[in-house]
Amino acid sequence: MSIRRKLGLGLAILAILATASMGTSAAFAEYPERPITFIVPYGAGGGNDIGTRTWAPYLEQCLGNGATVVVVNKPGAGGEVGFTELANSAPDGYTLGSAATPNMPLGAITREKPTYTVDSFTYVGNLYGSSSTLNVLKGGKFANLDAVIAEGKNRPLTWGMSGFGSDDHLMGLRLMQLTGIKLTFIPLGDAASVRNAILGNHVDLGGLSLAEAAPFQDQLSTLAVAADAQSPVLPGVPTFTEQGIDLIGGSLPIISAPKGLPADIATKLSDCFVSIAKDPKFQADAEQRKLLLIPMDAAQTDAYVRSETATLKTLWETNPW
Amino acid sequence: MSPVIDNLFNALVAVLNWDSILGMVGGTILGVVLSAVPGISATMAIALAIPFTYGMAPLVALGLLAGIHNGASQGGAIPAVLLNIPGTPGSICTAWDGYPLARQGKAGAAIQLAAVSSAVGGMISAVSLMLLAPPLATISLAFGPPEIFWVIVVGLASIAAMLGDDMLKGLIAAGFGLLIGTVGLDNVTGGERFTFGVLELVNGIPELAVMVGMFTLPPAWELVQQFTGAGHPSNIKIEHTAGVWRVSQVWKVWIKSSIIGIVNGILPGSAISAFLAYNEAKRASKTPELFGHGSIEGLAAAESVNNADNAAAMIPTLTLGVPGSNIAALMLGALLIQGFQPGPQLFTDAPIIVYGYSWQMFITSALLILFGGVLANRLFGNILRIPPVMLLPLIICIMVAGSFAAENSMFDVYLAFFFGLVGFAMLHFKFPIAPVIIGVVLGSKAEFNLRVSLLLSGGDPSILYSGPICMVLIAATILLLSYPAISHWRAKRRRLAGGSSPLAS
Repeated sequence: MSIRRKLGLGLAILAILATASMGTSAAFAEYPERPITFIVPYGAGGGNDIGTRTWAPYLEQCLGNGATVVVVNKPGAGGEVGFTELANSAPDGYTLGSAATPNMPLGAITREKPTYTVDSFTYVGNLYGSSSTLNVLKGGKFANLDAVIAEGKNRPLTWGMSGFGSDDHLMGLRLMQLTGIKLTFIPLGDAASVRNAILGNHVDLGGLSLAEAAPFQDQLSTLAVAADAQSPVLPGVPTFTEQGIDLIGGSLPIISAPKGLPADIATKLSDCFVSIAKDPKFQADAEQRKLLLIPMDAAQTDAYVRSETATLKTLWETNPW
Repeated sequence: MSPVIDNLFNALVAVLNWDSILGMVGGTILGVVLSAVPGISATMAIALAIPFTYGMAPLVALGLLAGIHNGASQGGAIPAVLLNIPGTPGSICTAWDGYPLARQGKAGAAIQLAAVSSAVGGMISAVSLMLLAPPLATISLAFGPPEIFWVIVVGLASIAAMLGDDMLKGLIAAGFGLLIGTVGLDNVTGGERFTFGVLELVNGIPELAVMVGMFTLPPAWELVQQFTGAGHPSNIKIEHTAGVWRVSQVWKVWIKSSIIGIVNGILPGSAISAFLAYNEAKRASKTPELFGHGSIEGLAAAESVNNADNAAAMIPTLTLGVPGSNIAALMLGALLIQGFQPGPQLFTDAPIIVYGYSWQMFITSALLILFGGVLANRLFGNILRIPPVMLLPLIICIMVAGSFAAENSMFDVYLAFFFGLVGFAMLHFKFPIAPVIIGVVLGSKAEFNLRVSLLLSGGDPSILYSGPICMVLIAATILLLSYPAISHWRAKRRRLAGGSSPLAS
């Protein structure tokens, strides 16, 4: 062979080796290599949205490698638009989202032709949650919960909620069951619109999460919290239990990926969320944004979703709405 | 008053430091350039920029976003004037008078007028944010689902005033738009409509795909057809011809359009104020026959209303956390990232931020006179030196990129081409295409608010006409719908009164 050919062959072999080595290193390439999309199935400014944007920078720091988390709002149909999109995304770790309870399981249980099931997701973890609260216009028709119940037995009250199957819808349903009041459910699309409708006196009352009710205490009157103890976020607001109604409810955002997420990515994400929950800076941020910390790792989250789904299924089968 | 003045002054000082100025200037230029690409709307420009603001100091981030917001609401006018292709949905009306002006050799002046109109609208809106936010927010609270429904109907009714000669065809076009708007998940019950099992349609047909397809492809084709010997560059020149327009001609239009834009901004759930402002300008004008053929007033109205919407849309966003527009929803996200929660306490807890942002909206609007006008002329004038035969493929490439960018989806690109073909067919059979966009954007919102209103009243339709605001809006709708009939009747009367009327056809 001439020198040229030898050189050419040598370069070719070098190139092949280089590519091959790139190939092998690609298998162990650091995740993430490109931006991660996080789907929030609710409108901007709602509790889920606020929470996600609070922890997103911490996830970026934890994953390292120049990770960016792009938060995308995909509201609609009580969250189902977002859940469906998440379920149908590629399980490559670059699309994550919130498969919130109770909305996500309710969508799978109550629809004739559900677009996803509880098994469509890999459950990665959870950082915070929210209790539902009952709100009316301050200085309006209802001074306290007893007044609401008294009126609600006479005529159907209009209940503003974000959408069918949301945690505020569920709270209304349970309230109807436990107290015998009548409610007409008004889906308004997102939490901020519900709040607006209460403030503008377009609906009688509405369900909001703690984070959504707290900044507006000058104009909103929060009559009860659906938790087992009073919340430091809204001091002085009694729980339902204290007022004789055994109602506890809220929502958890449940950080998820489509099912089939590779185990190494799942572990990496899950470990990050566990460490974020312990980070004092994150805890301070969460407190400032009125988020209730409810940390769970991947296994606990999976177990929680399954048990919630079972409870909701029983509720739907005995008392469908 | 005094704390407000103190805050305004301190905020102005805070905003005039180098970082913030750089953010504002950079943002404005970026906004103008991005929105001049058909398919990249102002919403997309902001969505693209927000992730970059994560690490920035608050006033720098807000300055950048304010610049992009205002720049992007103006930049769409550039291709609208030069090529008859609206760069953003808000520039559809701009093309109607801007392009004829360009064909008359007044392209430079038209772009300058567009820029100044945008600047004026934006500045008036910023002032409303600064001084009137809390009371205006109270007004927006008074608008419940029935009232918002009528606001949207008023928007839909403005189609009637634009239907021109063939009302039936215009109504069919609007109906087609409404039909397109029904595709996807029903917002009230969550049922799928007209999705035919296609997953990508579950979220509905994106309005941008419709707009990009219908408003880009046909004019691009027309452009090529017009120039015999398509190898020669267009004879549209950009020179600044003085004396084409005077402030005295347009200041009334500016004020009225700005008010329309501000009202549209503070009401969550309303959109497309450009058509309303355009119609109002036409109705009040002494020369309505010029509209659509190069009316100065028409161009001024179309451009000032878009920017007037911007700052005002932030009023309910900042005070109530309810976004007044799609961009406001994104800005809400940006504010939350920076750690600011909207609500009545925002003005008292973070006055420098709120008033600073208002100043930034004001300053970036003023910057449009420079960047949207003079610089745009320099930069984009060169587009016209490209021979049309090369321009068409270039525009198609940009159209593909623009329709892909929103959702990273090729499906949107196919949709855009499909609607481009539909647009061709419509124009061939002399159907107007603007009503289609109005139908698409407003139809589903109107339906949602109507159904929620009826849920509120338990099925009793009287909820729709019992409030005072509703009655005012119903009256406005009736007026708008009868406008074509009234103007027809008036023209007839004038003709009968004496054959020497200047408006005799």
